[in-house]
Order: sequence, then C-alpha cells, then structure tokens
Amino acid sequence: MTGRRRDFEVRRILLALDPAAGPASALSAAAWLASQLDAEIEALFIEDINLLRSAELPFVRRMRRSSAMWEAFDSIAVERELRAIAAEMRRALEAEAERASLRWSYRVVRGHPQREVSEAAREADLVVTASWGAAAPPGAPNSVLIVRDGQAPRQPAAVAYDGSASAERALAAAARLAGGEPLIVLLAGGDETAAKALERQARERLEGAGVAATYLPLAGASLGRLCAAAGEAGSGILVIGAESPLLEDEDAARRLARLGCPVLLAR
Amino acid sequence: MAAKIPGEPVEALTAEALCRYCDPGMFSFRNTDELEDLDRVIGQERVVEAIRFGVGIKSEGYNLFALGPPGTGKHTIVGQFLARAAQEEPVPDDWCYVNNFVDAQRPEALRLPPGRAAPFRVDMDGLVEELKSAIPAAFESDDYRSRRQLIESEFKERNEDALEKVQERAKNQAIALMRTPMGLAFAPVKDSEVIGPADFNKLSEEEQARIKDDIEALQEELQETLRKVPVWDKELRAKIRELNREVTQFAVGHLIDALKDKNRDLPDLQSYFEAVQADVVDNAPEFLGSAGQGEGMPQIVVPGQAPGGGGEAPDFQRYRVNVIVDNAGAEGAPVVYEDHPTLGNVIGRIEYTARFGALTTDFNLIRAGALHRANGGYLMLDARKLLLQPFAWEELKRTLRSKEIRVESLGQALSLINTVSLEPEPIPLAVKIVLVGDRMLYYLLSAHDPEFPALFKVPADFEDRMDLSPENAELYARLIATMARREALKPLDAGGVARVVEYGSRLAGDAERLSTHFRSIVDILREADYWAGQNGNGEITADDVHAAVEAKIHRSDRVRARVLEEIARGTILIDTDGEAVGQVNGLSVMQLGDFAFGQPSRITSRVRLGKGEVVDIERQVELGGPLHSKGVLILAGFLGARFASERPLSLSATLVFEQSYGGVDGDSASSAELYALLSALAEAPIKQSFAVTGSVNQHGQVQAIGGANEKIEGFFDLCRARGLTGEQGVLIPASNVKHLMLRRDVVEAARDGTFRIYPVATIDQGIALLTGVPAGERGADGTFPEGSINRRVEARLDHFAETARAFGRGPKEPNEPNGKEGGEA
Repeated sequence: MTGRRRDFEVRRILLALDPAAGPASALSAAAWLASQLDAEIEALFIEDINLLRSAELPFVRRMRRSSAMWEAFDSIAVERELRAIAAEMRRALEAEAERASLRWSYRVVRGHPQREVSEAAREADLVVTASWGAAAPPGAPNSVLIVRDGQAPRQPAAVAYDGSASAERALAAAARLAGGEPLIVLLAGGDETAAKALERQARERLEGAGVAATYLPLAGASLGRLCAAAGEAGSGILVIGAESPLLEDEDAARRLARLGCPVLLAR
Repeated sequence: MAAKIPGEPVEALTAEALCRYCDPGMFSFRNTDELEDLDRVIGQERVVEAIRFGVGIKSEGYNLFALGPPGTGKHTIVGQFLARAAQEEPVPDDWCYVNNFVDAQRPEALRLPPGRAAPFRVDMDGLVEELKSAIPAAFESDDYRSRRQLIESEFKERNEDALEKVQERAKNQAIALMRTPMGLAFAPVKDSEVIGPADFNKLSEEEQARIKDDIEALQEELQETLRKVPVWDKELRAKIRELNREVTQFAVGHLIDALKDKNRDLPDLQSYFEAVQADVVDNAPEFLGSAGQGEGMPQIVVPGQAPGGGGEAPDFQRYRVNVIVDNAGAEGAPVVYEDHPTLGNVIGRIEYTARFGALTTDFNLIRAGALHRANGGYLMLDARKLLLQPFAWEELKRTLRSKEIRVESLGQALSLINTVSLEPEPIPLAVKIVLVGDRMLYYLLSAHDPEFPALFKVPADFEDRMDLSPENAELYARLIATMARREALKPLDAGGVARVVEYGSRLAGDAERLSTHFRSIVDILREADYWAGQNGNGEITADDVHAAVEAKIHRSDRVRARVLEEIARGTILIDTDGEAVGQVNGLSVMQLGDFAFGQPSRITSRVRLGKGEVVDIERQVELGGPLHSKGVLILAGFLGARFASERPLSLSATLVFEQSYGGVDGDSASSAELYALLSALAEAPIKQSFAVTGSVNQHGQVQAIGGANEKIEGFFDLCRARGLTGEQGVLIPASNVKHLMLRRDVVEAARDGTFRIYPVATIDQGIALLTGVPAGERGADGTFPEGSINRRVEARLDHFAETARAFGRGPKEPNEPNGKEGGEA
C-alpha cells in the first residue's frame, strides 16, 4: 500500500488473471494503463482452489459454452488446462510488455481468487481484474480497474464528479488518462445550480492541470444515469471515485459489469 | 463442216502499230505542279456506285466486299468513301462494362451519350476514394459508438441475466456455478467453499442424492439457457448489421445522390448507382480497412467474414468502370481498320490474371474489339487475314447475324477451359462491314459459304484497267500529279507524265487501256524521282521514267538473262535462221514475282500411220495442264474436219515442247503446234527465223492470247543477241494487235525493217508465212491447188488411210507395244 495521493500516482499495477473471466482483455487493459501511468505490472495468475475441488467430485460435469453440451470434468484435465493458460498468459504479457517497453513480473498461485488478490493488492497501487468478484471489495485500500471480456480502455475518458473527496481522486485519475483528448466530466450534482457549481469546481481543477474537458450534467445522481450518460458520450473508460455514493447502489456490480467500457474505481 | 478459211498474204505491222505512244504535246501543262489534285476516283465507276449504294442502304446484310487485284487502291478508295460518309453521320454512344451486383459473372453493359463514359469512370473512382474516408469517419463517430454500445450492452445484459438467474437459483440451493476457461459447472458449496470429495462423502446419502438431483436440475436449466445464446447472438448481429447499414447509408447517400443528380438524364445510370449504394452498404467493412482493426474501432460483424474485412486487401475493383468505347471528341461515325483481325481483336476478349496460382477475371478485364470501336460506323477488314485467323470469320458472321457483340474467351467458346469466366451482357451491334480481298476469295466464299451471300450483298468489283481516252489521259496526269505531291516527289514534266501513261498502258497489256494498279504507278514515280535526283534533274523527265522502268526490269531479269545466255551458248536449242520440217519456235511467258518475260521454246511434231490421234507428250508425262491438252485436242478436230471428213484419220502424231522440264499450260502455243504438225505432214520446212504465238480453234482461226508484248520481246531479245537479219519476226494473232505496247527498241527495229510482227488471222496465213508456200484453198472440184500445203497434207493423210486399209485391220496401232515409228515423211 503506497497511500493516497491527490495527483493519482500509480507505480505498481496488480494484474489479477482469472482464467475463467476473459484474461486477455485484462492483460491488454493493464498494459494500456501501465503505458499511460508509467507503472510496472505485477501479474498474478490464480488457480481457483474451488474449481479444482469441484473437479474432484465425480458427479460434476462441465458444459461447454460454445456447444451447450456436457462433458466429463476431472481435476487432472483442469490442472492441465490451467497450466497451459498460465503459460500462454505469460507469453502474451511478455510480448505486450516488450512492445510497450513495460516492466513486469509474473507469478502463479493456487487459492481463493478474492483472498489472493486482496493479499497481493497490499503491495499495489491499482488492481486490474476481469472479474468483479475477484476485485478488491469496496473499502479496499487501492484503485481497481474492472475489464470485462471484449472491453478495451481508450480515450476519451469519462469521470463521475460529485465534488466529494473520492470524486477529486477520480478527477485526478481521469486527468492522467485523458491522453490529450477532452475529458468527459459527468456532473452528478442534483439540480442545475449544483451541477454548475460542480462544473466550476472541476473546471478549476482540470484547467490547473492543463486538461480540456466537456461537462455533461446528469439528470439525477444515480449509477444508472451515470452509466447511460457514459455510454451515450462514447466513453472509452469510466472513472468513479471508489467511495462515491453512486456505488452504494445495491445493483452496482451488475450495472458496471454491463457498461460498454472498463471502469476504474479510483482511490 | 469447217467454214472457208481466208488465206490472204499478211503484211508486217508498221512501227506505229506496235506501240501507242503518248504524245506529251497533248498535255497543256508544263509540269505537274500546274495540275490540281484529283479529288475523285478514276476508272472505278462501277466501284464508286457500289460503295455509295452499300454505304447508303441500311438494310440488314448489305455489307460490302471490295474485290480486286492487290494494288488497285481498294483500301484507299474504300477508306476515303467511308470517311466521307461517316462525317455526315452522328457520333455513336459510349459503352462501358460495370459490375453486375446480382451476378458478377454477367457484367452489365451501359450505354452513355458520346463523351460521358470517361467522366463516369472518373466519378466512380472519386466515389470510392470518398467512401474510403467517409465510411470510416461515420463508424468512428461518437454517435455510432454510443448506439453500438447500447445494443451490445442490452444483449450482454440479457446473457448475464439469464446466467445470473441460474446462478441465483443454484446459490439458494447451496450450489455454486463455477466458470472455467472451457465452460460452466455446478458444485455444492458450504460457507463459500466448494465441498471436496471427502466432505461430500461424509454427508448422508439422502443429502448427497438431493445435491445430485439439484445439480441435475440446474444443469438442465443451464443447458436450456445456453441454447438460447446463439439465437440472441444472431439477434445481436442483426441489430448491429442494421445499425451499420443505417450509418453507412447516411455516409454514402449524399455522395450517391450527387452522382445521380449529375446523371439524371440517364435512367440506366440511376439504377446502377442504386445498386452501388446497396452493395456499399452491404460491404461497408471493406472500407474500414486497417482502421477497422484499430484500437477502439468497432468490430463490424458480417456473416462469413472476419471483422475489418479479413486478411486480404479490400477489393474495390467492382466499383470501377471499364470504358469499352470512348467517343469523346469524335466527329462523325467511326471508321475502323483492323490490321490484325484475330478473334480477340475483332470481337473483343476477356483477359485473365494469375492470382495465387489460379486464373481469375472480372469485368475490368473485358477488352474491346474492333467491332466495339466501329459500332455505329464502319469496319474495314482484310478478308484474307480474317480467314486465316482461327474462328474469326465464323464469329464475325455469328455476330452479324445476331446483331449483338457477345465477348467470350476462345477457351470458353470451345469448352477447352472450365475456369470461372464471364458472360458479359451483349452490346447491340449496328455496323457496316467492308471486307477487302482478291476476287478469288469473293468467288470462293460465294460458292462455298452459304451464309456469305446473305451477309455481304454488295460487291465492289475493282477494275484493273480503264479506257485510254484523251479525257482519261488528262485525269491520269492529274492523278500522277496528286501522287507526286502526296509522296513529296519532284514534279513531272509533260514528257515524264506521257512516259508514265505509256507505262500504265504497258501494265494493262493493252494499247487502248490504262492500268489502275496504282501501287505500281506510285512505285515507278518514286523510282523515277530517285533517278531524276541521280541525273541532277529538278523535274522528273521521260528519260528518268525510262531509266526507272529499265532499272526495275534489270533488277528482276536475272532468270531471263540466264535463259538467253543458255540459248546463245547452244544449251537450249532454238534456231533463229534456217528451215526445218515439223519444228517451230513457240513462245511462252514466265512470271517470276511481278516480272514477266517471254521465252522461246522449240516445238516439234512427228507423224506416222496410226489410229487418228494426236499425242500430247507433255500431257502423257503430266507436265501439261488441261488447257494445253485442250489445245492439242482441237488440232485433231481441225485436221479431221478439214482433211479427213470422209475417211478415217489414220494418223498418229506426237507434239512436244523440247527441253521443257517444268509444267506447260495454256493454249497459246496451239497454233505453233498446228504449224509444226502441218509442216510434218506436208513435209514443208518452216523458217526458224520466226516465232509463233496464238491459240487456234477447230476452224483454223487464230485467237488472241495473253502476254503478247512479253513474248515478242522475248524472241526479239534472242534475235538481237544473235544479230538481227531482217528475216526474223513473230506471228501474233491479229486480234492481239491492239494490245501491243512494245519496248522502244523493238519498235525501232520494226521501223528499220530488221524485225517484223505479223498479225495472223488464220492458220493458212500463218503456214504460208512460215513455209513460204501458199496454204491453198479447196477448189470447186473439192481439191486443194497442186503444191499447196493443204494439198500435200491431204495427200499424206490419204496415203495413211490407204496404207491402213491395205493392212486390212483398220486404224490400229501397227507396232504395239514396241513398234517403231512408221510413216515418217
């Protein structure tokens, strides 16, 4: 844990590779972030202990997604698959890192994914994961980038801004990811007056950092409206403060998972 | 019964009759610079009328065939007429081939007003370039991304919801849905941990069974759910495709509308542009190129194709325009001459390119033929060249019959290749074909090709000579002036022109005609110009023309010189003095290239008792042609009718061209052969100072032959080489006198009396000249005068008949098979 910094310093990115949840997208996203933030990647490939254990049960079968057909499921085969995927992930990371001149490390652990990630996240500033379940839970000490299968972060970046301390962190993170393109600032401030006040506040911050932005007030401060606005604005990545009240929505995990772009929960 | 044959003595021709000189004094100009160009065709009135008719008539099948010997100006004259007629006719439409978006194997032909095809092509090329930037821009827009994200989110949500429902139900039953790299599985859990085999076995059997049943039920539910995924995916693809179509339509619409507006007067193009628009919309990913695979670029899902256009470079060739006929800037209808009329060059062809080892083609590789270029106008083709090209003639006829140009590859037409090929839409054909060729081809085609008369109904039969009237001589002079100017030659003075006119008569082989073989006239003008230069003359004079003619002959007369040389050396036996029985000098013409010369030949005859036959030795050894044999058989007819009408002709005679080792044909030596035969029968020697030419009929009349000038000159050259004695001369048919255009040296010899030309009308005139003995006419008592040739011949034949009777066995070969000659006088 490196502590909070107002200007969103990220030195180490933990890439949590969950073989069941589209790791390729997470890998590319981590490389993109590392390039944007000049950070190093620590990749963690987790062999899910529960998965191995279920494979030992003789009556458990596996259904192939591609064909909806059942097949035998045994632990030896699963272990072999996991080893193959781990090796493949390593090669992919190596190639990606070489292409973008990134520093990286890679290790394989066996255990409960959430616990292993939480453990490893202590030494990281940011966690990249393909699975909401594997991410550090709300209240965890570091930022999290959630990337679903098929997603890839890109500019323009959008940020939810409600004036809170957490939103300031999010604004700082988004400014780092703007990449020269105007930032999309989604103002979650209730009425029009509040939105204008938020815009002034955000503009002051961003202009100070030399970042251009487009300001879009949200008609109501809800996670649902935020996601819809981010989608309509064509956002390539959505940044939200990790302690934002917007995330108190009980359906938050599902809403964010269904967004068209990766989501960065900034701390 | 033979008619009475006159036997009046014959006088030698005067020098004036031997050559019709053209008097320079008849011309009013000093040199040809003073003459205007001749702007009309001379000597070809029939042709002019035929071409006017052929060009004017628009009915089907009235194509022209210009027939005549080479060098008569067929191409030039026909070309000039066609060009003049074409100027008055409208410029035909442009044609191009474009892709058929429904069936690419059948490219569509588009007709456009003249000059519109090339701009159309440029517009379409420009459209493709515009689309390359407009379509990616549309797909990169925020609007597109947002809408796409919404659609994808909706479907992702549906997937996730369905899975989560199953997951939720499982959770309620303390069962976890495990997501593995390869698929999904259910496992029992306790306190968020999957129950291992050891713990599971510790459960009661009922519990274990319940868990297994629950998992079984969940598996069925999951299977049902996952089976819906492909349907949802299909719906997703359809929605995205619809979005893509909408976006592309918007990006493309205004560009296509601009083109439609620009070409609103052309309904065919309107439907083509609509087809292009539909195709672009269907294949928008191709325009995204590498951008389609770039970071953040939407992946467009197209059935059967990888997003972003796949691995191969996008192929925009199908939006190109293949301009087949471009009449931009043309004035009048086209006149096309195809010098190399292969099938492909006439009808058009389809080319192929090798791609990954296979031959492929498309409408861009359709190549126009001469018919395309000439469509709406005139196409000239050389008949011989056309007939020599495989399948070209048959395809041309088929095209004329069907009145549409259908391009197909030869391999396809013959079913030789089975590779994918094209069937381009045929183009309507409205063209006038003019075939140019020699007469033989025309007559052969007329006789043996049943389609030919129906397709080429207008013959333009070129004359190879024209009348030599004063008016025509003037026109000839203007033609010479025109040729000289066109060829940038020196002008000719009046003498030079007169000499060329004489040369034209000599080429025609007739003192009353002029040759229309204008290529030879141009050639002699060019050569005379050279000699004028050599002689330092500023104008071409009669001497320059004469020098050109002499030099031309000299360049070609090596064989003639060798023949004369061998005669002079006694290798070839020809006498030019003395007398001999059954031996006469015949004359033949040898044609080597474009040079002809006369050659004397010794013809001999021997007679004996026989069964009334005249044996043509040339024929027996197959050196004689049918015409020669015909001439010899006529002799037998003449003899039989005149001397043996009431008794058997008990004669066996042989005739031969001595020292002839090549073929002999023609009947121009038949009079000479008859003289030799009569001489042999009458035992009357023939003066060897004469040579003879002319054919003979069964009544003993001497008939005209060809090549009289060359034959006379051939014998004259031999006599001159041996020394002219004043006794030498040539017997020619009287009807050939008008053809005489002899060399000046021959004419001068005749004027001096050292060489004579006798015009002979009958055999009796000829034999009297040759033997110095009158032929004799049958008197009232039925007999010929005593001592006359005819009396002696008849007596000899009577003797043969009596002898045969005495043998008592009729006209049968006395010494067969190895009998020696009998009855030699």
